[in-house]
Amino acid sequence: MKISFFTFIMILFATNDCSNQQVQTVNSITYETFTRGSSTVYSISPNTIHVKSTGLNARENSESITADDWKTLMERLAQVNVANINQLQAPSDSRASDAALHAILSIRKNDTIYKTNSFDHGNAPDPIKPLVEAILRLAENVE
Amino acid sequence: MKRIYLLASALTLIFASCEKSSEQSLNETIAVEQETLSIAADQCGTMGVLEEKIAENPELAEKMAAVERHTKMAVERGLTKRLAADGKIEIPIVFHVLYNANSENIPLSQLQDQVTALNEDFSMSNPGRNSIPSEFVAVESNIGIRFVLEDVIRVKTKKRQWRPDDSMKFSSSDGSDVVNPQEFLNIWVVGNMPYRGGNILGYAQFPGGSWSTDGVVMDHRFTGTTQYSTGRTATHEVGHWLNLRHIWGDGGCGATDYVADTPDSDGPSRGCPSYPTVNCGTADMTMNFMDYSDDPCLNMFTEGQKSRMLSVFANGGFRATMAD
Repeated sequence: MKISFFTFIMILFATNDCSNQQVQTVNSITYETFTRGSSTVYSISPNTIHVKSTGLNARENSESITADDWKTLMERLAQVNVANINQLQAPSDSRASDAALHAILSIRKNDTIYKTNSFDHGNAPDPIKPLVEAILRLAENVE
Repeated sequence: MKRIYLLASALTLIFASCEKSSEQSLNETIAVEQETLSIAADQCGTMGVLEEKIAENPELAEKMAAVERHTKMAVERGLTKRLAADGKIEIPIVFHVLYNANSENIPLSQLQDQVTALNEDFSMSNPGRNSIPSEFVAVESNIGIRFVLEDVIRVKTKKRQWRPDDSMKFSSSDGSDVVNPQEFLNIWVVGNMPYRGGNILGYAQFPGGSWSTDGVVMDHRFTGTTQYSTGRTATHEVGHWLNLRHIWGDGGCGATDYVADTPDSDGPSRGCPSYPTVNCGTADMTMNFMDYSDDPCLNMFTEGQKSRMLSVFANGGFRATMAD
């Protein structure tokens, strides 16, 4: 009897732990650039990319993306330690005197948003560079 | 009995295989909880940024570090106070107007408007200063710098647009060469600077950089009084040129602008924010010239910013030759 109770506990643990793996799905990725007088937000969810710009060239557009596009992003994201992206150091500081746009990358996993510190748009920290490039390539199709 | 034992071991195996992922998610949860803390810890140390710069460009980093050391020393020894007591510092401006279309060859009156706006802002006479909330009026500062128009150089260029890469500062790349940067503030006025999907209104070089690129670059539509501008982009850029950082410290809560009397914030303001706009537990000084608010809603520098700027002119400072 003792043993079967133990087994029961084990089953409980086992199911709980395995369901936790499902929790780690990525809902959306957001890349934001800004300087004085303008900003652009690129929001990507599994089916859509949405680009919104403010300032002199204000515009807002959406485009659907394919499952392959999303898969590419997820592959690049898999190379990133998402929980620690807030610790990435910007390799350059041109934005500090306005000679580059400020950029921030954020990843949404369920109810948690993981966010980088700002870095120069066009010179992302190495670990997220391939992901940022893939986002901007997708955004080229949005017009 | 044996069967139960087998079942238990099988389950243990499953448990073990799932354990790794559960540890991971636990770690991520802890990391999220610590996020705020690590942002603060990370960004207080702008020395970290400096270290990066040293790796990238040892000479520049060393020069900028020297400017920082001098700033600290000048403020501590009261050199800036003596300088302020001496009366106004006068800075002659050389404008380089680089135009492709004739509309970009902006008239002298527009440049004079720009000089007027700078003089208002550096002598505590900004037209919107009566809207500054009382909590900030106490630290509002008269910088005591006067700007005079020294010269206007007009260059017809083949370039329709520029990148914020200093190419406009050399005649060899169809721009205009710097003039006496040890004595004059050089301002290059260009057609426009579209940059990777954005649009740069103006940019500056901090003290400590190369003399050949020393100064400020402006989009002609944001110079002086235009439909887009009352001239505050130049005030912001000249603030950088005199060693001021963005008021939010270019990072999250805890990131420093090296000035004690500006409140902590986690990002720039946009448009014309209403007061109070609270971030990091305090009301943002959204009307500070070193924020990103629109021109009419930028109205003040602080005493701390004044000390930082005047340090640059004190004995041994990067721009000491301008004040003697």
